[in-house]
Amino acid sequence: MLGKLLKKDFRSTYRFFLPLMGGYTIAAAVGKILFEIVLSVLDSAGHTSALSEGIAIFSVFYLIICVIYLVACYLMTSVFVVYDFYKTMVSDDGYLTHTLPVRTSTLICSKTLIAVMWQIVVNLIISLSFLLIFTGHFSQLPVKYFFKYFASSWNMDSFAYGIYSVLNILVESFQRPLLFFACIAIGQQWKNHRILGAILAYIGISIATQIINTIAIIMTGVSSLYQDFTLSGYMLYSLIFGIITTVGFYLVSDYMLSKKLNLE
Amino acid sequence: MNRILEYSHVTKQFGSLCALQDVSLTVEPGHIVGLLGPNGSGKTTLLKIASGLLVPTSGTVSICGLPVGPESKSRISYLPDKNYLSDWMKVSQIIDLFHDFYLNFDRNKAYEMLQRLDISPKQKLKTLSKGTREKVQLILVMSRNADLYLLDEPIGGVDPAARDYILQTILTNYNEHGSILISTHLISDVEQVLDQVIFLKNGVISLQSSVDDIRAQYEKSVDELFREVFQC
Repeated sequence: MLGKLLKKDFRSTYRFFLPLMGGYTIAAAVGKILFEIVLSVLDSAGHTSALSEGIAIFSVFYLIICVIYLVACYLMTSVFVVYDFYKTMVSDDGYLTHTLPVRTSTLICSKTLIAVMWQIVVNLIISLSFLLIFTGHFSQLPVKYFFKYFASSWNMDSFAYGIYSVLNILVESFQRPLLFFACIAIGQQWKNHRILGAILAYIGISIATQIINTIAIIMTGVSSLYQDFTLSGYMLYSLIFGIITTVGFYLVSDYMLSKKLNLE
Repeated sequence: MNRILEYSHVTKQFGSLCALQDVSLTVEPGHIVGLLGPNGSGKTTLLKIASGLLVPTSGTVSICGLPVGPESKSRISYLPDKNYLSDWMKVSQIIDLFHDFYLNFDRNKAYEMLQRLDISPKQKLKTLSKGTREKVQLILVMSRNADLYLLDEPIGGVDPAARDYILQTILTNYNEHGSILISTHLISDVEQVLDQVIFLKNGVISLQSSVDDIRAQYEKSVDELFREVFQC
């Protein structure tokens, strides 16, 4: 049944993500062309015309808009995931979702996997857009110097840093939607103000998680306040804390939607 | 399998409001049962609990001897009193979805009914009128060979001419070995198809009887008895 649910959830979400990421891909391609124009204008400094200056100014503004679009892509990814979950799980569409012959845990797994997939797609497209923009100019970037400086200042191999970063991003890709799902699952207990309930649950869980995180950091000694602080230790801690909270959010969502479902 | 549906001392509270109070009832196979009561009497709550959309505060519900869960949901065909299909989907996509999830869904039967009602499978739901959407929902529900059909106000939102068609659709398409529980307050329209009735008043069952017994005992139609029992 998970495969069928994945198919259903993919169909209900791709109509949001395709236009969003299609638009970003086109914007990034145009950005690459304008980036090259800006560089050529800068290279020919001293021989600038009013037209080339105008193009350069326009290009800079365009690139700023691209960056705003990039941030919007990240925000909209969460918005779409939350909207789909709310609509299909606790609003009228939930009448169909919860009468399908599947377990609540399978419903949540499907929603989570689809949310993770879209986050990975968005991250990949955005990373590829940066690669595209800098293609042909890598030799001008201080990449080697960065890695050397990074290793010496943080006392951590840049490869290990890369691995930890990827794992943390992966865990966060599960953690973020499951946090939203848990909040919506708690919010559906409210009779009339379900969205408000979900927002209050979000604030409450965020504060509680921060407090527990701070206490755990102090107790485990991975804080940068300690002399024996290492970046690798902190990243390992973040990974473990992320996994624990992710499992916690999943369990809360599952419990609230299977034992306390309230589709009034 | 003697009982298709069994409620045992089911109570459901919403805060301080008691929607159902210690309800116990059984539905045998092959019966069409009318769940009758005025607005707010707990009819929808009763059906939602069996469908798994609400969890009872206390008591248990079993469907074909199974507790409410994925197995029971595969045996129940539930028609809610609201539009529960995504507007962006085409009728054919919804039929595919039902075919994917319900092993007892008869796709051919669904297309036959659509054709009879002149509803194009290529149409998106958002382009359909409210009445046509309700017909699509009914077609989906009645195209399943389920053990139990839970129909919440199936004729509530349609014109009188369409009511006869809907009742006919229900009667000619349900699995005869299964049972139907119809919730409605339009009793005169459904009375002729019912075998049994359950009167629900303020979350409590005030009467459970066969239609024949009511006519013999009270010398009244179900509609007349209902008006007497629930007189304002």
